[in-house]
Amino acid sequence: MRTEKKISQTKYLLILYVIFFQFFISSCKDSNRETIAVGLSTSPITLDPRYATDAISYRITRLLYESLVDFDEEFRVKPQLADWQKISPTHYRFSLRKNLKEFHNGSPLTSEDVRATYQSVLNPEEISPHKGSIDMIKSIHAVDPNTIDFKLFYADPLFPGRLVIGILPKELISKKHNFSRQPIGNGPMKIISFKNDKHLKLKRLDDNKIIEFITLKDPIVRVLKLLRGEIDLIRGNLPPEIVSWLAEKDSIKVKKKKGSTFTYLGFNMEDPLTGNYYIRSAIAHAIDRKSIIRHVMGKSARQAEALLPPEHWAGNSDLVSLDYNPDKSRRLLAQAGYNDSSPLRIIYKISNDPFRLRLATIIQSQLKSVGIEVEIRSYDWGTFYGDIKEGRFQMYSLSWVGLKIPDIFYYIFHSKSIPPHGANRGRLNDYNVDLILELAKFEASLDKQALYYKDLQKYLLDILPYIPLWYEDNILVSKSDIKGYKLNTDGNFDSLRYVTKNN
Amino acid sequence: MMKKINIPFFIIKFWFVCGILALILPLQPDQIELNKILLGPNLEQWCGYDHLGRPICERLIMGAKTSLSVAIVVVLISFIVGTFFGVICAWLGGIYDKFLVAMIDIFISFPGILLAIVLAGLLGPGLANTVIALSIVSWVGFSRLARIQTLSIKNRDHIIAAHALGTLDYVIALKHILPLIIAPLIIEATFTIASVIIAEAGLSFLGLGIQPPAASWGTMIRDGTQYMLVAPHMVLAPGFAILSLVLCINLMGDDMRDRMDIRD
Repeated sequence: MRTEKKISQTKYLLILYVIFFQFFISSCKDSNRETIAVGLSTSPITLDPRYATDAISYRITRLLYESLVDFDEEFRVKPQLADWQKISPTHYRFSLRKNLKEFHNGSPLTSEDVRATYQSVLNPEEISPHKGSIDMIKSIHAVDPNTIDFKLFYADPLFPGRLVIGILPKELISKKHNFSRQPIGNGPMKIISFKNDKHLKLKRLDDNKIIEFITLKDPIVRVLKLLRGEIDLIRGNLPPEIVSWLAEKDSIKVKKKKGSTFTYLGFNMEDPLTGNYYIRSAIAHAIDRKSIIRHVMGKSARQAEALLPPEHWAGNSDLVSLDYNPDKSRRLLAQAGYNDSSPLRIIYKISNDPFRLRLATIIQSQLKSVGIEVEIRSYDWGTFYGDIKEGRFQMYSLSWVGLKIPDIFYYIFHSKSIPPHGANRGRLNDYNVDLILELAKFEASLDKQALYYKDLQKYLLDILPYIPLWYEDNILVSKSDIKGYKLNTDGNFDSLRYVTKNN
Repeated sequence: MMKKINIPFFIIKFWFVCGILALILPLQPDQIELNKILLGPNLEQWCGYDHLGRPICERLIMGAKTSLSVAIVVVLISFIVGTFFGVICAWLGGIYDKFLVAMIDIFISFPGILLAIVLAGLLGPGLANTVIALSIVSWVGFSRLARIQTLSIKNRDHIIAAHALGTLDYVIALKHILPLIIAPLIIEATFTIASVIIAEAGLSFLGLGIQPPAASWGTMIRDGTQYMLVAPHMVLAPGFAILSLVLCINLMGDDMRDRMDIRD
C-alpha cells in the first residue's frame, strides 16, 4: 500500500506542476498579437511546388510562388505571370508580363528561370509527381529574357492549363537549394520561419503583415484556440455540429461557399462482387445522400452526380440524379442473386479519420437496411492509400480535391491508367470509356472536348465505376475582427493575400 | 454500520444487473437514426443520442456488460495465476523466490497502463487481446501479496506439523496456506476490478481496446470528446458511469478491509 500512496503523491505533484505551468503559459501569452494566425489540421508536407501534391502544400505554395497561368472560377485558364499564343498545335509561346515581382532573394524573374523550373520537373533523375502531366513537352527554349517557347510531342489544347507549377530561381535550382523548407519564389508572401514542421510564419510583402500557420491536429483544440484568440481563422476540417455551434457565437464569423471537393465510393471492377453492375447499382440506390447531407454534413455539401461540378466548363449540369430507392435496390440485389437469407457481404475500406469513419458507419447502416452486410475496415492513411493503389479492396471512399483540367478523366478511368501509371484504382477497363477519352484527348477544340467529357460523365453515371456522393463546401470560421476573406470554389488560401484584422 | 455500505453496494448491484440485462433485453445499441444525431437527454431517452443518432442509454448498458466482463475475467485470471506463483515460489524459496521477486520488481517498476498500451499495441486491438494485455499487467499485485503472506505463515506450527506428517505440498498450499491468506487477496481483487475497469476504458479510449461498433465506456468517451462543446452528454454519461462504478467498488473494498480487520 505504501507504493500506492507514493504514486498518488507524485500524481498530485504532477497536477500542481501542470496547473502552475498553465498559469505561466497564459501569463506569457501576448493578447495583442499583431499577426494573423491560421489553424491547420495537417502541416504542409513540402513547400516546393514541384513536389507538392497534398491540398495544404498546394494552397500554401500558391502564396509563396507564382506560376505562368492560373484558373478562374469556371476553371478556365487565365494568364498570371505570362500571356501565351499558340503558334502551332505543338508550339506555344509564353511572354512574361512587364514589371514582374522579383524573387524573394532579389534576383529578377526571367525566362531562364521558367525553363530551369520545368526542366527540373522533367529531369528523369528528379521524381516529381507532376512530371506525368507535362511529359508531352519535347523542348523548352528561352528565346529572350521575356519570351519562352514550349514545343510538344503531340497537339494538346489543354497545354497552357498544365503550366501551374510555381517558378523557382534558376541559380538556386542548380545549387539544389532545399525549397521544401526554405522556399524562395516571387509570390506575395515570403517565408520567415518553419519551426518543427508545425509553425510556419510568412511575411506578406505588401504591408509586412505576418501570417502564421499553426498545425493543430485535434479539431477541438483548434476551436478552443480560436475562441481564446490564439488563432484567427480555421478553414474547414471541423465537425459540422461544431461549425453550427460556433456560428451562434458573437465573436465568431462563419462563411460557407460551394466547393468542388468530390467525395465518392469507389469499386474494384475486377472483384466478382463489386464488378457486378447490379450490385453497384443496388448500393447506389440504397444510400440516402439527402438525409446524410442534411443531418450529418450540416447541409455543408451538395449532391454530386459526376466528378466535375456543373459550373465547370466541362461539367454536365443535365445529369439525372441517382435517387434513394431501397425497393429498387432490393430488386437489383435479387437480380444479382442475393436476398435476406443469403445476404451480400462487402468489405468497405476507409482511412481512420473520425469524420470519415462516422460517414462510413452511416452508409453501413443504410446498406444494412436493404440487406447488404458491410464490414468496415479503417486503416491509418499510409496502409489505406497503399491498399487502394494496389487494388486490394472491394469498396472504398475517398475525395478528389482541386480538380481543374478535365483530362483528369484519362488519369482516373482509362484502362492504361492503372496504378502506377495513373489513378484508375478500380481497374476499370471499358471500351467506350477508352474511346471517348482518346477522342477527347486529340480533339483540338476545347468546346468539342467539353462535349465529349459531358457525354463521358453521363456514361460513367450509367456504368457506375464510382458512386458520386457529394461536393463538400468550403467553410471559413474566423474571429469577427477578420475582414475581407473571400471563399472560392477551389478552396485555396488566396484571400490571405489581402485579408485584414482590426484591432 | 450497515447503512454506510448500502449505497455503493446498491450502485454496484445496479451495474451488474445492467450488465446481465444487456444479454437478455432486445436492445439496439447500434441502431442509427440520422434525425436524432446529438439530440440531448429527454424523457424518452434519458441520456440522449450520440453522433450517429444511437441511444446512449442502451450503449451504456452494453458498455456495462463489456466493462464488467473484461474486469471479472481479467481479475479471475490474475488472481489464479498470481496467487499460484506467489504461493509456490514463497513455499519453495531459494532461487524460485528470487526469480519471482525479480519478475515482480520488473513489472512494478514499469508503469502498468503503459505496459498495457504497449501490449495492446503489439497484440492488436480487440476484446480478447485487451483481456490478455490487462491480465499480464494485473497478476503481479496478487503474486506479491500471496508471496508475502505465505512467507509470513510458512513457519507456523500447523504448517510445520503438516509437513512433518508427510502431507503433500499442494495439499498444504490449498488447505493450510490459502485459507489464511485469502482475505487480503479478495480485498486486492476488489481494487483490481476497479483499476481494470479504468484501464479497459483507457485502452478503448486510445482505440486499442474494444473496437467499434461494439459499445464500451472508453470508446463512448472517445467518440464524445469530438463533440464535447456541443453535446456534453456524450462524455458525461459514460464518464459518470465509470466514476460511479469505480468509486463504489473502491468504497466497498475499503469497507471490506475494515470489516475483515486486515492491516498492511
